[in-house]
Amino acid sequence: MSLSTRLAIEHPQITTDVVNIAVLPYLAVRHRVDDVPTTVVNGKKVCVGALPEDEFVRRVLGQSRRTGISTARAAASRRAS
Amino acid sequence: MQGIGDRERHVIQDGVRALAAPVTLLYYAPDVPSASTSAERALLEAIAGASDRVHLEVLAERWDGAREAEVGIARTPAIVVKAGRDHGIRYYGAPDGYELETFLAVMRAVSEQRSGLAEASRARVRELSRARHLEVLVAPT
Repeated sequence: MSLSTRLAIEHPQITTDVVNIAVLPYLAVRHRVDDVPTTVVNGKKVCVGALPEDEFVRRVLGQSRRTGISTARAAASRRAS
Repeated sequence: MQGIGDRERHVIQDGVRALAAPVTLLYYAPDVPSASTSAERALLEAIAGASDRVHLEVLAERWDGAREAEVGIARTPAIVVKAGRDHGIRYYGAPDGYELETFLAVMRAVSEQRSGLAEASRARVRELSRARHLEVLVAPT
């Protein structure tokens, strides 16, 4: 089962359209789809292909992910100050 | 989309065998059917026919903008999946091929009112303050 529909079941403010691009090809053109599944959130393309749940949820919610590099930079900044 | 074969019938019977609660499928079809919408309707009728816990309602009259706006659909054909509460899940295009099993899984999850997300994800989602509308673009298989 797709993560998008899981999110819709989880929260009343999340809705999900599962769109077969053969039926609505103009959406594929509008969002410049070159691979599937492509996920669009509030009109903005946020991911192409399947992602792990953690990463998918972060992207849908617009939450930034602290990467190893940014963590190292933050630690270096703290040491320098 | 081709006709419903033995494999699809088997998948459907397995998929709806143990629904926890009744599921309603609303099918908004164009008033003039095409080959693809006829096949889509046949698929939904096969799903509804496989369990007395699946209720299919076909709305194939002329486009009613007010009615369609009320359920949040902007085009037909569209399928609404709900069980008691409407979770805002809409399908545009027949859920056939590999998408059929996914569709049946959605029906089961809606029936159980359980997302199946990990607890960490559920905690993040609870912090949501602004509505999100997702469009997942898939291809027929």
